Order: sequence, then structure tokens, then C-alpha cells
Amino acid sequence: MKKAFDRAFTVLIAALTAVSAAALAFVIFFIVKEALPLFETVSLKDFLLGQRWMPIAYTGSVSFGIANFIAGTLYVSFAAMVLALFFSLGCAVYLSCVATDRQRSLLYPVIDLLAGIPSVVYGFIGIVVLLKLMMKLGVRTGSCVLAAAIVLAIMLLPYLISGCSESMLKMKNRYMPASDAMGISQWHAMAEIVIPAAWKNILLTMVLAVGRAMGETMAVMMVMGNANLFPRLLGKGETIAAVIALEMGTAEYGSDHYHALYAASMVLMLLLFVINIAISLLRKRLLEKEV
Amino acid sequence: MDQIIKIQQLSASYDGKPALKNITAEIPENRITAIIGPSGCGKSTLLRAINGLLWQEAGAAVSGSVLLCGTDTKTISPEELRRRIGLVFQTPSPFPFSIYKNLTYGPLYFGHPTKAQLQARAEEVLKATGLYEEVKNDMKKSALKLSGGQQQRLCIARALTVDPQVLLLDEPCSALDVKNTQIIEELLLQMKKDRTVVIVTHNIAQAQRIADKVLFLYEGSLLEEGSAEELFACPRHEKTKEFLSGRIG
Ligand SMILES: Nc1ncnc2c1ncn2[C@@H]1O[C@H](COP(=O)(O)OP(=O)(O)O)[C@@H](O)[C@H]1O
Ligand SMILES: [Mg+2]
Repeated sequence: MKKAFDRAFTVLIAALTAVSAAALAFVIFFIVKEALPLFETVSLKDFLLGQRWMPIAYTGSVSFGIANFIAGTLYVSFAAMVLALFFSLGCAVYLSCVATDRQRSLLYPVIDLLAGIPSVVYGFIGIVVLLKLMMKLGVRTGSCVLAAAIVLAIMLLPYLISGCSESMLKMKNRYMPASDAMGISQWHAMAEIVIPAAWKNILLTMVLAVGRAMGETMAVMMVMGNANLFPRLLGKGETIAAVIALEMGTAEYGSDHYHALYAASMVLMLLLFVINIAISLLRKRLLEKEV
Repeated sequence: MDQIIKIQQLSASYDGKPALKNITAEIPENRITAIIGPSGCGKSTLLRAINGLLWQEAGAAVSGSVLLCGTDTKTISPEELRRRIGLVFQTPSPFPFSIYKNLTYGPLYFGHPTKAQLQARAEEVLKATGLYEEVKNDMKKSALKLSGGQQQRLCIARALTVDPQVLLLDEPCSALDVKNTQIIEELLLQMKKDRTVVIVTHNIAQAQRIADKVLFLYEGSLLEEGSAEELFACPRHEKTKEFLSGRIG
């Protein structure tokens, strides 16, 4: 009886895995299939390196160059990660080394809660609070890459904080007793042992966060201005995800514009793919080292 | 024979559950003192009390005092106290650095030694623990790559780098093979020329081989103490007899 149940369960799990794999394969296939026709009219080089995005011929000829969007995506993601990193390292040090068990058990759920807030809410708060601030600072409409990076950074905080503090806590529990028994101060041990030992895991968390940031659409779109410009901190910019979200609804089915948006999706997918490869390589090296 | 450490009416409890009950004992200088007793009787707790760790544990209520050379350890700063009283744990706990950096960690924290001094100190403690020949060619190797026995000897070496007067060891050989155990026992016998050693051990034969003085703890109380010959030859207390004959443990 138990054996039959086990076997049925195994089959069920295998089937579910196969379905998800098939769904993923289908999505990739579909995106690639819809993207490829574009390259009959536009060269890959012009598409990736061109700065003019003119999907409809109002004035002059159409043009599909997504260089600025790629740059925008990368720029805002890395800027957000850098902004968030320092803050989350500080929080992680507090959570792992200063907070008592009780404080930790209170704070972790709050951090998890932050991760559950829908991104449109972050975007809304960004518009109401951040853009006003930016206007005071002299940015015309307030929308700019910096505002988007800040909103995105806040959205990344829960992931970075919990990722960093967990790996620090693990290292602290492993190495602090021995250092303590030598009479060495907690802060010295933190800087010399805990953070260096946790560093690789922190790096992994960072890469993961960049991956998340690159796919984030709504909140970024709401505060970044969405103009096809090369990203500057206080200028407007637009991400790949934003272009797709903004224009997919109006692109005529089967047009070059439609295919170009799919091609942009493919580029975004490739970027995330690269990130994922980086993560698995890093993880493999980490595991090798731990044994 | 001078008594370097005096434990006076020491009691400790966790959440109202007593772990040490009114212990008064003395540790002789430049001798090996073994603490024996069934597991859970408070041996590790007593060691943590001696180098002051117990007082900073959140869940522990402690009373009584420990004197080091006549000075109450509560009046000595934790750094100073633990530099003078080293502690080696049951499971080897090398830091995730190279072998060499494990040995410079303490000295660099407590002083400003020159490179040559660091090097000399590292070699000295490695030779003392019999590790030198095994690792002299890869001092840059990660300490985590050493075998269990080598790691434990490295931890003893690391404790020695800051030149403590007293070395506490909490069942240092419980996870080691015969060969490494033997090396460590010889090392401890060497060491008592200029250091005091306190070793917690579950291994009665080991205590018999190396100890000068023995403390027998039972359910948090110090039931019996005495010179090793006396205590092993004619234990006075019924529980001690039972423990030594292997009936409790
Ligand atoms: N950190 C702690 N929290 C709660 N109880 C503890 C703690 N450390 C030790 N104890 C308790 O104190 C008693 C003595 O423990 P310990 O000194 O580790 O014994 P031994 O080393 O002789 O096996 C045990 O009953 C143990 O459960
Ligand atoms: Mg113990």
C-alpha cells in the first residue's frame, strides 16, 4: 500500500515537474519565435546598439534601437543594489550580532512583510514622496533614474537584509564562541571573521538581488520618467521591462513594433539568464569550499 | 605548591535549574588538573566559569567567585582574563583562515608584534603541538582543510599564541583517534613545566595517565577531590566508585 502510494507520488511529482519545464520551454520558444521576424528588417547590431526607438513612422522612418533601454535596466538595477547594499549590511550586522533572539524573532516577520507589499504601492509612495523631493532638488518633473533606483533599493532591502543577516548569523554561531573564548571583542571578530566568512554568500545574495531588480517593472516605470535617453542619475530613463509593459498593448499584432518588443523581451530574458548562470557558478564554488 | 585558581562558593543555574552547586576548589599551578564526572554534571559550565564566559551568558544566573592569583576574576577585564586563561573546545573550531593567520589572530589583537616575532611565535606553538613538520610547507593552506586531529592541535596552538598562564581544555580528545590523543597527552605533559592545565575528560584512563589532581563532579556538586593517585586508588565516595567502575556515566 505504502509502496504504491510512494510510486504514485513519485509519478505525480515527475509529471508536475515536466509540466513546469514544458511551460517554461513553451514561453521561451514563443518569445524567440515572435522575436526572430524582426531581424529580417533590422540587424541585430542596430537593435542592440541603436539609440533611436521610433516604432511608428509619424515623422521620418521607423527605427528600433534598444541600447538606452538596456543601459537603463542595468544602470538602475546596479544603482539600486549599491544603494541598498550599505544599508542592508548595516541592518544585517545589527540583526546578527546586536539584536537578541527576541528582537530577531520580532524583526524578521516585519522584514518578510516588506517583501510582500505589491510593487505598485512602492511606486505610488515613490511618486508621492520621492518625486516631490526630487523636484525640490531641481529635477524638472521629479522623475529620474535616481528616484527609480531609490524605490528599487527599498524594494530590494528585505531580500538583501534577510539574505545577508542569515549568512552572517550562521558564521557568527560557528566562529564567535572560539573568538570570544580568546577574549577578542565582538566587533573585531565581526570585521575579521564573520563578514569575510559570510562574504561569498553576501555576494550571491547581491547577484540574486540584481536579478530581481532587472525584472521589476511597475514601481520603476512609475518614477523613472520613461524617456528614451541614455540613463543619467538625475535624468529620465527607461528600462526594457517598462518599454514592453507600456507599448505591448498598442503594438499592432504582427508588426515590426510587435516583433521588436518580443526581441526586447528576449534580451531581458538573456540578461536574467546570464545572472542565473552567475548564481549557479558562484553557488557551486561556494559548496566546493564549504566541504 | 601554589594554588593559581581558587573557586569559591560558585553556583550557577539555567532558568532556575542548578548546573553548579556551591563549588569550592583550588587548581594547583603548573600541574594538570582533570575534571571528571558523568555527562551533564556541569564540567563544561565550570570551565566557562573559570575564564569568565559564564557571567556573560544571557540565561545563566551565577553567584560566587573565581580568583586568579588571588584577584577576583570579575575585576579583571574579559580580554585580559581570557588572554591569561585560554580555552579549547570539544569540537575543533579553527577560524576560516590560513593556518598561519589562525596563529597571528590573537597576537595581533593583543599587541603590535613585528613580522619576525609573529613568525617565530607561530613556529614555536606549531612545534609545541607537533604540527610543525606536518604543515611547515603549507602555512597558507586553509585551516579548515586539516584533519580533525590536526585542527584540534591547531586550536591548542592558537590558544598558546597569546601565552596564557592557564589552559582549559573541554574534552579535547573526544573526537580524535588514538594517535592524535597520544600526541595531545604528551603535549599537555610537556606544557605543565610552565603552564597550568585544566582538562575536562570523559575518559578515566586519560585522567589516570596525565592528571596530578582530580575533581569529581556529580549533578553540579563537587563530590570528591584529591591527588590522582589517591582518588583513583581509593575513592571515598560511593558515587565516585560507581563512576570509576563504569556503572554510571
Ligand atoms: N547554555 C545553557 N542553557 C541551558 N542549560 C545549560 C546550558 N549549558 C549547560 N546547561 C545545563 O547545565 C548542566 C551542565 O551542563 P554541562 O556543563 O555542559 O555538562 P557537562 O559538560 O558535564 O556534560 C546540564 O544540565 C545542561 O543541560
Ligand atoms: Mg561538556
